[in-house]
Amino acid sequence: MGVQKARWTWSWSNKLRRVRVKNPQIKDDNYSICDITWDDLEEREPWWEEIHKILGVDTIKGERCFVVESHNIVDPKYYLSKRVTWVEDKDFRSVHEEQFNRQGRLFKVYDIDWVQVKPWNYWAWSQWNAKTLSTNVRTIYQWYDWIFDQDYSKRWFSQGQLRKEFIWRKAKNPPPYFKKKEDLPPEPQIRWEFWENVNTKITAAGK
Amino acid sequence: MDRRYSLSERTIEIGFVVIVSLFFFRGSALADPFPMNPPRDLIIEPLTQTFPNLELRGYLINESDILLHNTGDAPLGGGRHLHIKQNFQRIEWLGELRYKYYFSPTLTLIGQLDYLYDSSFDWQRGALGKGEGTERELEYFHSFRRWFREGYFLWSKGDWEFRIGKQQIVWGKATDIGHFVDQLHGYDFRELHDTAVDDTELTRRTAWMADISYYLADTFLGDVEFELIWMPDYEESLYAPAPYLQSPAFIFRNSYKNLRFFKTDKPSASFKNHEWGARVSTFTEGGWDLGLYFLYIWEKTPYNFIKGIDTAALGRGEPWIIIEPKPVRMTMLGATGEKITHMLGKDWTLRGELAYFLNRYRSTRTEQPSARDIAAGFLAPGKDGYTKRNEMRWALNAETTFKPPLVKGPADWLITTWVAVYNYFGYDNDQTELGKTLDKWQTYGIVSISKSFWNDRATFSCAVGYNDGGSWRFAGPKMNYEITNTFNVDIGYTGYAGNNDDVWGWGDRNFDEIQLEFTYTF
Repeated sequence: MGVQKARWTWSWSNKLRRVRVKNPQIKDDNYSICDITWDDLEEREPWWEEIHKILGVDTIKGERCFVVESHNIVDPKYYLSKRVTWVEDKDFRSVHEEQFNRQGRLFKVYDIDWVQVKPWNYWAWSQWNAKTLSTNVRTIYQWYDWIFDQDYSKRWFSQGQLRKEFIWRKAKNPPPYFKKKEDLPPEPQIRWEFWENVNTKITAAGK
Repeated sequence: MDRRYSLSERTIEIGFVVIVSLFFFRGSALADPFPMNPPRDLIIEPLTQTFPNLELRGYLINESDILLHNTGDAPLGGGRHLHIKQNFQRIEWLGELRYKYYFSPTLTLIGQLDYLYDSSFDWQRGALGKGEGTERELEYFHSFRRWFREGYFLWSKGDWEFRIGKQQIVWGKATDIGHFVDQLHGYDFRELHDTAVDDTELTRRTAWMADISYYLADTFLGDVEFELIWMPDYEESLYAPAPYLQSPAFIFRNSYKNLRFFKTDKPSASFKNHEWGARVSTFTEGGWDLGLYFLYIWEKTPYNFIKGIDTAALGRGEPWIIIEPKPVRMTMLGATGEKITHMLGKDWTLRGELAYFLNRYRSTRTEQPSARDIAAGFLAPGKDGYTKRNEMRWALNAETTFKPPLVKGPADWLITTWVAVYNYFGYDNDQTELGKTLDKWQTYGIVSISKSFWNDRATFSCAVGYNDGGSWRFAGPKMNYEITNTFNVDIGYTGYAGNNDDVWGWGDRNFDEIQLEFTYTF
C-alpha cells in the first residue's frame, strides 16, 4: 500500500482543448491559491492514515467539544507532527483545528463554521477561517447554496461533460465581497486556555 | 437524521465556494486583494445581468518575441549567413471574447471571437520579412474566417450530444511533442517553430463541422463514448510567405529557389470531398482511459507534386522544377491510453498515443528529377516526387512529482518525459526531406519540469527536446506570475541548437528569442 492513494481527477484545458488527468495531488500542497492544503480539505483519510487520542474537553462558542490529537502513521515525513481538532460532541462536527509543524510548533489555526441545510437537515461547511501563524497569511474559504440528494446522470461525471464547460447551476445568494480588512471575520484564536488546563506547553510559530 | 458532509463524499451534494486568500505581513497589506476590473464591471457584468442566459469572458494579450541575434545561421545547403535587422519577431495584440448563450436546458450557443494585430510590421518597417506581402497576410486578422474563431450550437439531451457550427475538436493525449491522432485541423504556422501547446489554442484553424456523440454507461467495457465527425469545410494550414523570417521559403531558400509553383486548387465542396472522423473511447473499471480513432480527411498542407522540368530555365539560373501543390487525402487509424499507477513509491500518470497513416505520400529520391531527366529535357513518365508509404507515429509519456535534494516544501515539482518515434514502412533508404535522406526511424525526446510557487501565483517551467538527427530545442526557463487575479505576465526563453539540416537545428540563431507575454482577463 502506497503512502499516497492515486485519485482520478480530470480537468478541461481550454488552451489544449482536451480533458487531461490531473497529476495526483500532493497532500501537503496548497489547494488553489490559498493556504489550505489538499490534505486539510479532502485528501486525508483519518480512519486509516492516523491514530487519534482525546486530550480533553473544551467549550467553543457554547459547544462542548472533544479535543482530539491525531498523528499520521503512514508517512514518516508527513508535514505535520500532529493535528489537534475540536469536535463538538453532538453531531461530531470539527469546529476548530490547530496544526503543528514537523518541529512541533503550532503554525496554523482554523475556525470551521457549519450550516444545517434545509430541508435535508444535513450539516455542511459554510466557512473555513484560517491563519498561518508563520507567515500571517489569512485564508477565508466560503461555501454556500448547498443542495443534496439530486438525481443525476452518470454522464455528468464523464470527460465529455467537462468539455462543455457548463456551469452546473448558477449559485444563489453569494456572500458579499470583502471590501476591506475590517469586513473579514475575526481571526481564529489559539485555545491557550485549553492548553493550560491540560498542562501542555505549546510554542506558536511566527515572525 | 443529521449527517456531516465533506467534499470527498461521492454523491451529488454540491455547494459553491468562494476563496479569499489575503496576504497580511505583520498587519500590512502587500497588494490590493480586491482589484478593479473595469471592462468586466462596466460592460460584461451589465450585459450578463441583462441577459441572464449569457456568459462572457474576455482576454487582452500582448506577446512580444524579442530576437536574440542579429545574424542567423547559414541556410541549409550552404550560403551566406542571413542578417537579421529586426529586434522583434512579433509584437502581437490579441483581443479574445468567449461567449455562451443558454437558449434552453438542452440548446446552447458557444463561441469565441478573436482579433489579432501584429504591430511589429509598423514598429520596424523595412526589417527582414516585414514587406508588403507578409504584412497583408500576417499583420492582422482581416477576414471573417479569422476573427470569427468559433460559433456553434450544442444540443445536449440525455446521453446524446450534437454540435454544429465553426469549432475545433482536438483528440489525443500527446502534448509538447507533436500531433499524432490530433490531425483534424490545420494550423497558422506564421512561426514555424513556436508550436508550444500554449499557442495551439490560438494557432489551430477552426472549421465548420458537425459532431455527434453518444455516451453509454456501465457496459462490460466500462463507460463508452462514441463520436462521429463530419467536416465539409476544408481549412488548410497557413505558412508565412517569403521573406518572412520563419517562412519555409526563406528558411529553406536554397531548395525553394529552384521551384516554380503553380497555383493550388482547394478541394471542391462536393460531398465526396468532405472529411470524416470517428472515435470510440472507454473508461474501464480498472481505471484505463482508452480510445480508438479513425480519420479520413485531407492533409492540411498541399503536397508539392513535380509536374515537369524546364531545362532552359535551369540554364538561365531560374526556377526550373515545376511544382503543382495539390491537396491529398489522409487515412489515419489511431489509439490512445492513459492511466494513473503507483510504483517506485510515487504516483505516475502514464500516457501513450499511436497514429498509423495508410498510403501517405512520402518524398523519395527516385521520384526526383535525375541527371538523365535533365539531359533528356523532360521528366520521366510516372515521376511526381512522391511514393506512397505507410507511416506510424507513436509517443509515450510518464509524469510524476518529485522534490530536488535540499529543497524545502512538498514534493510538488512536476516532471514529464515524452518519447516519440516516427517509423516509415517500406523504407528503402530513399526517403528525402528538403534534400536530406531520412532515417527509417526518427526519435524525439522531451523532458520538462515545472513547479508552482507562492500559492500557485508563480510557475516556473523548463523543457528540453532532442531529435536524433542531432538538434535541440529549449523551451524555457520560463516564469509565469499572476500579479493579480486578472493580470499575469510570462517571460521565457526559447532556443535551438544542432545540425542545420534537422528539425530544430534550422532554427539555430535564427529563432532564438525571449518571449514576453501579458494577459489581462475580464
